[in-house]
Amino acid sequence: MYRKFLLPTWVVACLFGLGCTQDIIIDLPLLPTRMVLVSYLSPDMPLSARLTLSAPIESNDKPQVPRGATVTLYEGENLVERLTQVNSNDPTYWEAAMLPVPNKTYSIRVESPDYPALEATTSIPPPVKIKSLDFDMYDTTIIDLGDHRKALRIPITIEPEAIPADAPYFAFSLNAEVTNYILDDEGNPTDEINYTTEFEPQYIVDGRTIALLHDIPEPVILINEKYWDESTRTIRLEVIIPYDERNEQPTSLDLKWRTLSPAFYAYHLSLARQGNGSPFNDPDAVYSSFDDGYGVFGGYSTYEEVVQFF
Amino acid sequence: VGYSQGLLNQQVDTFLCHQCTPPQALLKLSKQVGFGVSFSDHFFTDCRPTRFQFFNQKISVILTALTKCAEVRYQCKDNQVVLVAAPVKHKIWGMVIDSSGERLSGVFVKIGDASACTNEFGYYNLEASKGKYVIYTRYFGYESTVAKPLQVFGDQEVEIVLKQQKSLPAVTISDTLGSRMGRNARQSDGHYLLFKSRFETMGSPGGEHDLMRLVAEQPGIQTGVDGLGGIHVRGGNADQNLILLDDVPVYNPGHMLGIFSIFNPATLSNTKLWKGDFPARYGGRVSSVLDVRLRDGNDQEFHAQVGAGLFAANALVEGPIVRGRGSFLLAGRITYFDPIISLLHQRPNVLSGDSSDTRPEYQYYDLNLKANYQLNKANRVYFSVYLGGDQFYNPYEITNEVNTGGRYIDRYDLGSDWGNKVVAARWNYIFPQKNMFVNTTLRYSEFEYNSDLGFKSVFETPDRVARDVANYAQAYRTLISDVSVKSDFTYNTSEKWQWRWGGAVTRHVLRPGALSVNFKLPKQGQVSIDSLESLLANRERRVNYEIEAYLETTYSPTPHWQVLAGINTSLFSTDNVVYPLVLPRVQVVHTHGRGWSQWLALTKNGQNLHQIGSFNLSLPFELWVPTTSKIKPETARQVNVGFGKADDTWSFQTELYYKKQLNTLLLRSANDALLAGGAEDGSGWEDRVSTGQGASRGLEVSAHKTSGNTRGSVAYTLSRTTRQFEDVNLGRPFLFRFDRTHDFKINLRQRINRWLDTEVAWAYATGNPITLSGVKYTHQSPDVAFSTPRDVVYFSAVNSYRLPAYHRLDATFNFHFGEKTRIRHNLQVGAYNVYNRANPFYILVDASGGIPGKAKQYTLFPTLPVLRYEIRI
Repeated sequence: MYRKFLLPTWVVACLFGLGCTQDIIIDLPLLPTRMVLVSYLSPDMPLSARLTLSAPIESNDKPQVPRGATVTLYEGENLVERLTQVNSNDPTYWEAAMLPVPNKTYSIRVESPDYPALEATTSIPPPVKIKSLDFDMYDTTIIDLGDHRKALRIPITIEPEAIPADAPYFAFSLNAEVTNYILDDEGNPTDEINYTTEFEPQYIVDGRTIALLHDIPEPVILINEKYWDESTRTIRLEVIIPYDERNEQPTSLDLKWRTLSPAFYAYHLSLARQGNGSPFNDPDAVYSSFDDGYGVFGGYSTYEEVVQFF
Repeated sequence: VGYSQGLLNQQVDTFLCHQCTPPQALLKLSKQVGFGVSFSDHFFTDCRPTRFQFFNQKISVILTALTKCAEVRYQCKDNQVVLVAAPVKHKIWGMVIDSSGERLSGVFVKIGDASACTNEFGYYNLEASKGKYVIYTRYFGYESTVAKPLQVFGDQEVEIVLKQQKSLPAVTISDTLGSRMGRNARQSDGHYLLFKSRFETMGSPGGEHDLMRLVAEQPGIQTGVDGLGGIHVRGGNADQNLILLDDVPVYNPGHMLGIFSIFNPATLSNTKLWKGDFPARYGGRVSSVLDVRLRDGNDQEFHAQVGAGLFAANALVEGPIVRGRGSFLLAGRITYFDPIISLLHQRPNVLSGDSSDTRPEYQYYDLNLKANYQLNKANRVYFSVYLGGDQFYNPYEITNEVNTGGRYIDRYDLGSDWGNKVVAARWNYIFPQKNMFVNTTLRYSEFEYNSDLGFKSVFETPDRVARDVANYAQAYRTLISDVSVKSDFTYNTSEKWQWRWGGAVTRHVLRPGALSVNFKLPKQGQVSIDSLESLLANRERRVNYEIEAYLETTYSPTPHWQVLAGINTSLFSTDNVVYPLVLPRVQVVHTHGRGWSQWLALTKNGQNLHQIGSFNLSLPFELWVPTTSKIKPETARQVNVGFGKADDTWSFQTELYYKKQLNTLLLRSANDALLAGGAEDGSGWEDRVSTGQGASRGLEVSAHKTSGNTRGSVAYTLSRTTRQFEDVNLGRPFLFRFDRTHDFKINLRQRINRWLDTEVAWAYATGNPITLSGVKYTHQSPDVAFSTPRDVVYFSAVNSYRLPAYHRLDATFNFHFGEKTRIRHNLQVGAYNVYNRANPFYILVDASGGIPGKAKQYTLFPTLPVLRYEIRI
């Protein structure tokens, strides 16, 4: 809905020229087709990657896969493993069996007979743990949404153990769990669990915070490094967990706190800065981990903390 | 004084001479003491017989007393006293006005060997010996010489009244044929004088005369397409221009996003423009100064003027408050776009998509009032007010049919208004016989932008029963306002030294952007209510104090050399931090025979108020913010060197410049959800700003033909401007959005007969750099099995693609009727963009079009008629 209003005032300028839009053909800065690799290292998770090809901007085709490609992982100079395509239905997806560990330097190399090779190096940053995850019971409120729907509104404060001055790169995700109980014949909930649901809850933050949180195409929210300063060492969120008061109960909130490698952060920050189609809000250059291709080879480590509700 | 120490120190017991003229007394003294004396009798023609009486005084004391009434000095050698002529310089000061009482700024005044230029208030002062002189003046549009002879007999005030030329010549910029340094278009202190009569003949959309179009004609100055986005001087941002209206800073000088300026041409006097190398009396911006002055109004008789173009009409009345002592000027301007908009809006627009049910309304207006009154010879007071703004309203409905029956009707009401308020109360005081002038101003300037959006969604069942689904309103506000008091002193200590000093204290109030939401339906999306209220509760209001002081001097050791040096200092308090700025400036100018001149200027400028936007387009909804503890003051260093030649017919000049900017700002947009009404919530702006640097270098060449029936000018700029930010474009330098490698402007004016002249102007410029891509790829998270792919358009670099070149031809015919009668008529007809060049101001690439390179090009102005009629009484 908001997109309807992105450009209203400047359109005034166009009022004279509503007849002044025309379809044209221009010589776009067309770059040759290159391989695109998106791959992350994370402890205790097998290395996975997606490998595709870039395409002309007007293309409506599905992403193509480079022919005869090999994806190889190295630790330092040593070959660790050759990734394989494990799903014939999804030829873009590659996987390795090894579990990477923090503080080691890994390199990935992609070769194809048709395209320049991709090579990049990264490592998994040591996890920054959460020093405290506080939620204020006294400020917790229940909002009546009508029709037996309620929402639990819980203020939480997240404080990382440290904010590295040279790499304050973090992201987080929230998952709420709501338990659904079986109703008895009279429509009252029993102690018997019917099922539990997990979902990403909405949350409320102040204007400055929302301006420095970025939606990225990963299941986490990226925190802009400029969020942190001497007086800002915590993030305060008010989490909203909706439920049906007749037979549902919020039971837990799961926080996943990611510490990111510089490449992961830079890549996703550049994706978050692609403008909104406005002529007054131009896009930024897209980061790439590779000299002769696109994508990212980054790492992250995750720290998890769960808050149980009783 | 050379003298024989022994003789002059000799004591005289008694020396008496009753009712003696100085020659008589000198002869008596020489006989009494026994030394020789030689002098000319005419040295003492103005001296009266006096009683001289001295006891126990040195001879030197007696000689000094005897020669006091004459302009002589004495020398003593070998027991001989010789008197030689030593003319005394007398102070001559006053105002230069025209026959309507208008004080004229920048007039060259010459009396004997002494010369000066009038300041912003028409004040001049200089020194001359006793004698009879012809006052020589030179000013564009006025008779060159005032024949009335001036008898200088002592310090005196002389008001000079200039007579307007009957026919207005069409000179682009004042050459300085008469100016002291005899330089080219660039004036003695580095400014370019822009004459109102010049832009009255230019072709502009709809016939709306506009000062900014003349500004944009100068070499080294760029604008966006057709003026959109403000002016960019030597690679500077639009907010880096200090735009003064009667010495009060104006924060948004444009209407219609900068396509037209707020300056009603009927009210304007001449305007000065500095391209970076401005004198120390100006501070607060790093790129340029545009000093716009309103006319004072006729203090002799009442006059009126009415004009109308295709888009706007204006009216002006002026006249004496008390004849010869005070005058007023009242002017207004308002647009009438609605019929044009309605006509053009018969088709869907960008806002409403396919809906045709739109009724947009837009207008802008200006109101000027200025009054002045001379309390006595030394004191004059002024009062001026400007109110102006833009109003935009666009209600429309979108209807969506539902497959299951019924339909949703979404009604949007978008209204925005923005504008300036500028008020100045001024007091001019001339220190009698002190060669000193002081101007004290109490100033207020405000710019406010408001945008309101109402949204109501109704679901209508097939049987036409309506139910409200959503109903809310959202408002965006941003404001900057200043209150300041400022004093400026002008003082000439001698013919060689001129001084200016002064200071200002300013209180800045800024609201960098506040958005709020009100819901009108009970229990409407309570989670959202909470979210939005919290999200948008930006109530930020900042108050900053700034103290500024400056000292500048002009030193002319010889008639051919001039040094302008000065320093501008300021203290800016913010967030318990005080930022000092010390900004030295120096210019050296040399002229020699046949009109040649050369100059070198070194300048450091700084600014503490910044307008931040994604790409510094200076749009009204971009935020004005102060320097803070996190954001340092912007500074710029510029060096420019040039030479020029001017004679009575032609002038030519070329100039090289290099400018380095530090702490230049760029706002990174936040979440889309915070955008509303074209504006962006200012929350967290301090942490969304990128700080970087800029560099600009260029060569500017211009030539003007300034006399004859065929006149014109040519201006060419070769330049390159880059920006570099640590977190933009991956830290690499990139071209500034208004970088144009080549910029060429030519205009030709032909006087056909007494009542008709014509003008043709052509402009060419390299296309603006923009960020485009021809490549995309798919990003899909490898961590999530069924993650949603997202297309990523791969931009390899910012502003690495250039739009097609900009070029445009304008042609006008200007008819002048009744030049010799009380009622005069002017008619302008012509065309803007004669050959309908589709200059793109934006290109939207169709990422799913299937046709390589397919894009949608937006053009602002096709061929537009120029039609304007004016009547002056």
